[in-house]
Amino acid sequence: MKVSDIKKKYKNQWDLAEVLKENELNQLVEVKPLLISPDRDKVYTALAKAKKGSHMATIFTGKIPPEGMAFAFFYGATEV
Amino acid sequence: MLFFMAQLKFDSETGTITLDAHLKRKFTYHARLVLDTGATLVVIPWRIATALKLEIDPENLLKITTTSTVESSPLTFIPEITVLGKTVKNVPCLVRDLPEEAGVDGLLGLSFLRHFSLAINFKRGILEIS
Repeated sequence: MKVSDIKKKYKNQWDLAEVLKENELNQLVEVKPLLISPDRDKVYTALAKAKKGSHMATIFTGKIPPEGMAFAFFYGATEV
Repeated sequence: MLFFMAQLKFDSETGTITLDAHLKRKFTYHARLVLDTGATLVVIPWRIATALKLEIDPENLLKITTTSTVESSPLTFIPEITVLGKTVKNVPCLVRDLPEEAGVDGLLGLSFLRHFSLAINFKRGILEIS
């Protein structure tokens, strides 16, 4: 299934998927959806069961950043 | 010597540049990371770190300065990260959850970016890494 079709079909969901095809910039093109949920934790938990050597992805189908939200990250390491 | 340059078009209106990253260990995980030149390290969430079976040493904590506080988080290494076709091995990484509402998995910080020449043209919405 094309990633663009998943985003059209499911709004503001997290999707665990097996990667079938990427472009040369490592962007997802085609995937096999395995689990779709509004709960990110459920998707991440299911990811832990991925088989060795597999190629998995999680996709958020909402807007990044969401409407009305801005990112203002700063992580400065001060001590190891 | 030839240097391969990768170019990504992004929407400069959104104010955020997100990149697709391959994190490789037990399996290959395709993550969405926010480009953050203000972040010293790559940041990934706990559940991804444990799913990939990264080695987490509870004694190996790093003090980090956020915008408002100083907190501690585990420091670990991702055996291999590939972004825009560029691969770095043994990348230092902080394990820390971002809010679910963010819609991304983590941050692409300087522990990856410092290996490359990075050019961002916000007027044209083009990021180049070489």
